[in-house]
Amino acid sequence: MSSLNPARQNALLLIALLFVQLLLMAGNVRDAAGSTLLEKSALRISQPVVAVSRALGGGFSGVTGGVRDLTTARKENVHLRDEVVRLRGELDRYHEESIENQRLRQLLMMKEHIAPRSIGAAVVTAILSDQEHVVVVNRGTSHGVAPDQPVIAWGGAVGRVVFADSGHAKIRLLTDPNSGVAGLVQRSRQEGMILGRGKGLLEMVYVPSFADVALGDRIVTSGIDGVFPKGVGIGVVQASEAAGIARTILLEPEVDFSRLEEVLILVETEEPPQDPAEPESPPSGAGEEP
Amino acid sequence: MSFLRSLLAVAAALGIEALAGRISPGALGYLDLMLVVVAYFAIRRSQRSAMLVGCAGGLLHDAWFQAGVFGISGFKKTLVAWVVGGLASRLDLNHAPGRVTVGVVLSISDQFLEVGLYRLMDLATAPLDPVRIVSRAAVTGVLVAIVFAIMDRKGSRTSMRGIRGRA
Repeated sequence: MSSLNPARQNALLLIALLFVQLLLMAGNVRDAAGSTLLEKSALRISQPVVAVSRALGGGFSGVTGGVRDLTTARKENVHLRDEVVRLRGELDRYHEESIENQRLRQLLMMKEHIAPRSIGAAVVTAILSDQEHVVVVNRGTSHGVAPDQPVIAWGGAVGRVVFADSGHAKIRLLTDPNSGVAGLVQRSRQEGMILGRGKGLLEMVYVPSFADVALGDRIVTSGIDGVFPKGVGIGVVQASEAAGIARTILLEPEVDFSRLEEVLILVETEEPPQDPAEPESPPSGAGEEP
Repeated sequence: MSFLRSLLAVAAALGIEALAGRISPGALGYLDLMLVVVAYFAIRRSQRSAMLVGCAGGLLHDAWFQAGVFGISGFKKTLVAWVVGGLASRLDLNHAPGRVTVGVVLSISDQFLEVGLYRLMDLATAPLDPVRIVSRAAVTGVLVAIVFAIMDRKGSRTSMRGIRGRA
């Protein structure tokens, strides 16, 4: 090595570094858990730096948020009073409908919907560039977070967990170009796949041109992807036009990804599978009194 | 000492990026501070130090901001550091127009390399937005010029103190 001139030494170093990183990338593409050890180590080493930034960011957001809140509080107060009156009326109506719904469900022997168990998490940092739409939160495997768990926020679906360390988790947002979620039009029940475009809007694909989709229709998760539970809001149709046999549909997400501060990670989304033919009484066997 | 400085530079860049991501996540679409560090090391130090800093900084960036393939930023930053470090050892780039040009070239090549690597790995990519490419390159160029100006000023102050101390 010492007999080589510096340019050759650098070229050899370049080849070695690129080769190691190519191996890392190849391992990552082949198996999602391929290089998590190094990724976790890098995350842990740099954790203090990001913790300091987070503390600074929290202070900055607090000051600017306080000033903004003061100026908008009065206007919002008047608006919210009107909203409370209107919502009270709606709440009474929904309460009546909920009782009726419960009665009908019991009548149809449908399963009771079980609210999924969730973990609240605060956003540590985030990136919204063309190719990467990622949020890092302060909850990890030690809190029960695992890859492929769905994440929601006030308003609708946010994304899914793609990496979890003991104290942090990375969430790929719905707007990421490599993100996909199964959805359906709430009104017409037309199913499709919602993909990220790397920009603000989402795209719904695999929808036939004759499908009943109108501007302003709400799109919710269909639950068939096995990640998100059914009925979580995704977005509202902003543009819909037939192009050949398929229809191009653009959606505006229900969640403002640039203002995310807290999210909910759904750690249990489904009930354990139960055979409909199985009787309701507990099965006989181990643990049963003779 | 040089190793410690490199570590500090990478840590500072990561810290500022994390802070920017916390305050305004969209800002990181126009800001890549690791490239500024790479440009500084390529022009002021050596091709080798620029490559090592690019590799470490890229991997740390991946650890926090990459959801797809870990190692992609490290790969592209090592490669661009090698190219710019090689150019800086042959040409005099240590003046204001040269520094801005290095920042602009680094940013543009970094963005194209990113899309190329994603496509090579059969991953989906968003179409490249010319406005975003140009504005990000301009921001990087200006930041490189500012960082150099700050470091020059700091360096001249240190040398003045040394002369006064000897006198």
